Amino acid sequence: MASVEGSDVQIQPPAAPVLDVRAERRRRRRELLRALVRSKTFVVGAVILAFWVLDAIFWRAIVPHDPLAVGPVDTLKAPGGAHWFGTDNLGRDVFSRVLAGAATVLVIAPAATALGLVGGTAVGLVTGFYRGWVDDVVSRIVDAFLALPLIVIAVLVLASLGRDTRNIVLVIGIIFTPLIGRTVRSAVLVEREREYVAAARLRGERGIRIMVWEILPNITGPIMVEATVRLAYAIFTAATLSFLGLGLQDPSPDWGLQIANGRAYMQVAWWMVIFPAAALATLVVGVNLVADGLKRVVEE
Amino acid sequence: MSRYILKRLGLTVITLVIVSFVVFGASQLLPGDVGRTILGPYASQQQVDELDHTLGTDKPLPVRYWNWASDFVRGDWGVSPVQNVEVRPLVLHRLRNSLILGAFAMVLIVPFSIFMGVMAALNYGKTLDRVISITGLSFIALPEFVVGVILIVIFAVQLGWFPTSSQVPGSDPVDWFRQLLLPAIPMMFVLFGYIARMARAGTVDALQANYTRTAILKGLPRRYVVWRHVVRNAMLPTITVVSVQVGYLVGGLVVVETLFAYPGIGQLTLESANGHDLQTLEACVLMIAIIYCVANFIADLAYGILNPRVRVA
Repeated sequence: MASVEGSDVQIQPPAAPVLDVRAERRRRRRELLRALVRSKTFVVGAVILAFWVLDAIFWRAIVPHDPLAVGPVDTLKAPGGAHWFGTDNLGRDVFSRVLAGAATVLVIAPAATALGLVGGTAVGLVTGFYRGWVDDVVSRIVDAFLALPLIVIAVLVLASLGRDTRNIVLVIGIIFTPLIGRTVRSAVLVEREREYVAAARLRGERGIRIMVWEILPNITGPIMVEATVRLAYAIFTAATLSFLGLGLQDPSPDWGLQIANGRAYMQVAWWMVIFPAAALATLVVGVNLVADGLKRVVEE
Repeated sequence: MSRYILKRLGLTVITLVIVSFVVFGASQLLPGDVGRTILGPYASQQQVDELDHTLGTDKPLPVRYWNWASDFVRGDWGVSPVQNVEVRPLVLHRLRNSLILGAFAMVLIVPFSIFMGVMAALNYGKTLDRVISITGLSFIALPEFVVGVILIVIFAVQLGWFPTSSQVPGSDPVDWFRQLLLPAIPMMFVLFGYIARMARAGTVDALQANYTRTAILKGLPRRYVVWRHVVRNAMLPTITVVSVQVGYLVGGLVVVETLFAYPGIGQLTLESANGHDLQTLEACVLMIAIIYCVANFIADLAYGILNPRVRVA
């Protein structure tokens, strides 16, 4: 590209202007999709994730037993026969509970991620665009948040606020805000030096308009990657909190809770913990594969 | 160098002050009056007021924060109203147990992760690289309790090689492995993922650097170039990641210690949170933050010493 000082002497044909921004955007989106389908990591992860999402929506139609129905005569039955994954200490069907358990974590984690994403994008846009003291203050607060493991903050806050699903979403979402904000900020720092931002400034556009209409559409790539990485982490955290007894309570078929309840019976009924553990493991690995595939494609 | 150290030290102190705000603020969210909580619903309002006055909980917020923070710095951490014991010896003892478990996991996994990360980078794009990367990625994803219960079911319940719950080991090295290996593995999984990934990225960068090309063109043996030029430079970002993982480790300890009933600070944090033992909870959380900040400060120092660009500046 011609330098500013030299531009009046060099005669260069102007770059072909992009006439239709929307068509250009559509073309890029198609390219991105094609690259994603070619990524093995992404496809495997997406298939696993799709399986659990469909299960979380339609489990009522496919469970062989009511996941909450207790069976006093059928307690701690080993896998086989009518109960593929065995039964728990109350005689509930583990297979049905595993299928039903995806729903809670797949509501809590995306809700928390969405909350953090909205807050983090706002914080990142403002700090990256204006910089200065706002930026310094937010950076210090982020450092302080990073000094405490997420689980420890959550334990501290949930112990004070009380343990329920809404508080878990709030805690994870609020802690994600500065973390996502930092990623968005570094993307904004690159974009704000671009010509189109300078052009918008010269046109007299206001700061907020430049942030939302000019910069934001250009950083959707890194934000998407950040969102999937955070989603995986939110699933990890939400499951851990219910395992620690800070989330949903019995009789919910939540996986973390099932494992916590099954701990006391590990000696006699391994199936009570292994199946929900395996389910959770496939879900988190699936989301991470999606995140990794997406990251590679976007960064290329 | 001394300016660098002072600046880092200053930032560490600021971070700790903000953390103390967070901890104090969170404990103030608890609804209800402190005196009322301790004395119960049948005490008279006068008794409650008197206790509030003795405890200082009727004073304005900034004054209470100041009293609390200065007591903590002076080493007066108070008495746990729930367990009825001095908070400081309790927390420090549990912290010691956690450090034993954490250090055990770190010592076993850090050198191995760095080695695997370097191997992945040296085989960039080949099968070994893909295997190490995907394994690391999956390991990061797995919550500690998921790995933990699977390990317990296989190695403690079915095979009977390890106890299902762990105690603080004695001096016998066999006992160390018997008690600590199973709880350490879930944390080692996560650590492996992060550290190997960073070591790989650092090595890939260093392999493409000009100094590496110069060293190879100079005719130095490959082994020499790899260990003296590449790995050395690749260690800089890796050190930062290891120190950040110290913070993670404590979070992992909460889960692992709970699962294995190991008497560490993580278990104490959860117990005091469940038992509304704020005195102990605050001390635990502050200690965790201090450990993390000290680890980061040491990492910054190591970074400065290893990196001449920082050392000389």
